[in-house]
Amino acid sequence: MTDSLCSTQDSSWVNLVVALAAEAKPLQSWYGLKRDATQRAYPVFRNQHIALIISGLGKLNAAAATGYLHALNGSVSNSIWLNIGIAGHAHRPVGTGLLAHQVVDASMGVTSYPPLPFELPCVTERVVTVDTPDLAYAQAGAVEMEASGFLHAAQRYTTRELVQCYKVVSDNPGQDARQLEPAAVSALIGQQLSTLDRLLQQLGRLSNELTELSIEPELLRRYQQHWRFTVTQRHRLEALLKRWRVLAPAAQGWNPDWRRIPHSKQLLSEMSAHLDQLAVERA
Amino acid sequence: MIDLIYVEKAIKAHPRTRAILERFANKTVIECDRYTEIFNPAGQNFRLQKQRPALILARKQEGWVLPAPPEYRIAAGRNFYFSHMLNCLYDCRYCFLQGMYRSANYVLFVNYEDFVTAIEAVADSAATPAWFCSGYDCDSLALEPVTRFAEYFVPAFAELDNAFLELRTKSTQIRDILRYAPLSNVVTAFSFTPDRVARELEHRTPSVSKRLDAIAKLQQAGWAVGLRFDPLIYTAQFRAQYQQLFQQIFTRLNPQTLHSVSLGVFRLPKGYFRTLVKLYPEERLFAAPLEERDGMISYRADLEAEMRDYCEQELLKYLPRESFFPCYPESGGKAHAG
Ligand code: SF4
Repeated sequence: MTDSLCSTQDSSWVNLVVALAAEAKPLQSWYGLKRDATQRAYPVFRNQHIALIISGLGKLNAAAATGYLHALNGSVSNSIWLNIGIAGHAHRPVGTGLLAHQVVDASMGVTSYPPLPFELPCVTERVVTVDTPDLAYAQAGAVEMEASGFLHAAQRYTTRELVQCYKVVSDNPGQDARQLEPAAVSALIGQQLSTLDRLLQQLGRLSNELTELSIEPELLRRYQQHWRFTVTQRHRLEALLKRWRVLAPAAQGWNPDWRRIPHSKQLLSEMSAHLDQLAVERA
Repeated sequence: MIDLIYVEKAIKAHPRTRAILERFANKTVIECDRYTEIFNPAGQNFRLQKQRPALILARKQEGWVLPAPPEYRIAAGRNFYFSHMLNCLYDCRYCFLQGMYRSANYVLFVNYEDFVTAIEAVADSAATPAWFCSGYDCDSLALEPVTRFAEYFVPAFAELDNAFLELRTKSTQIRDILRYAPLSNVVTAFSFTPDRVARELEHRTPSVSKRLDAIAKLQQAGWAVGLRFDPLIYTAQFRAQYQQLFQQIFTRLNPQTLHSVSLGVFRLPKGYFRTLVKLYPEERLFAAPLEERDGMISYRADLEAEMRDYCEQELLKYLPRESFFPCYPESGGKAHAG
């Protein structure tokens, strides 16, 4: 298992979606992922930071498995979503790793552009998702069967910058896809592990940056132990705590005197008045 | 650093596109139908994208020239703005663009010719002179080495009788202006906040003293220059900070030769402000004594008036009243780009 991934990712959570068991295999051993025996609908593998699901072939399966994994992992914010798989290409050599800069759903005619605001670990490419295997190699770009389904599902769960598709060229007009054995698929993915690590490090950095902006769940729990908040009030509380963190970091978002306040509404308005006062004093 | 360039298929062969792509010969170029496919989708994060924005080369299809919002009116009569670019090389924390756009990628509309045709038509449509302000959706000059915006538009205004151009900037990229003989209908307006505020809030911008060097060069060459103290930023030391800024500026520049000087207040539509706070919750500016008035977020009215009055009074120690324009929107204006 690689150390670099764990060391750079700290709090970020990674979801990997692959179509085939052969694609999953090298990822399982590289990241030390263990089968989650409680899951029967899809094969799911995990370690502390990463969950991997095997979706089966096709964009509908990819979308469904992505939704399933999201439901399984609950509301982890700023999680990373990565679709990894093999693809055919009209002219790129077998074994080339490609990050999608454009994903085209060939049958729907829908095009997406995953934002790439980080140091690119490899070349980028147009990825075309088709409904049935395409051995004509007539399309420009990498041709595969899952990316568009995955992308449209995963972009609902996290910011678009954290949803990416990584494809490895497995076949081209000179090397027929029909002769592709599972072991060869595993080998192709296995050769990309250090590039995948670099990609996940970049995404982990972005994810951590967003996570650091949130209020620590511990602090929120402390408030919730003393007062009951509606959803709107909880959002307001978070906003006030963030403002407080800026104005008076040393206070650590807690004033023991406030425990005397009986209702959340009153608490929020006292907090707000206190912060308005602080804002003028500390401008 | 620009690593990715998206190009609309329709302007792939435009000479300006070709020149830009030549400059970025080793970068990844991605074709698209419309820039909006990349720029507009929901669920993008401006803050993350600002770390490495891509460049999008596009064609502006309509709306080349628009009526200027109240705080951008620099002269009586007809005032317009035009945007050859969306987003900015710089990263000022108070900039409304962060709240307005979902993407931090730079969009450059390469069909400058269409802008000039529209400007000409608007200028000719009435006898009173028309002002055209650039730098509403971007900084006019910051990306000049790539855009060659001034290189094209400055000589274009030399041909226009009834039209005035304001370039609004914090940049020192004035080389393309200095290549030409000064024109009486082109003003380069530089925005300033006090040094410490600029260091804290105007990320990646040239320092106050570098901006002053650029102004001095333009003035020496005979170009009209304006100063924009917009937005005024409140701190407990704002008096000392603005006093020192004005002193620094007016010991370097001759106030009599300035075209215009304006003050503007910090004001953001509520929705944009909310977006900004979500993007940058750690930013002190947004924790400041602000309040909502008529759907706009601004400093508390008493602080705003205090700052305005003080700065106005200080500025008038150096300036003739004729070159001073307060530019305070009554309501509804969008604050600060350029
Ligand atoms: S305020 Fe002006 S200079 Fe600053 S980021 Fe916005 S457009 Fe650029």
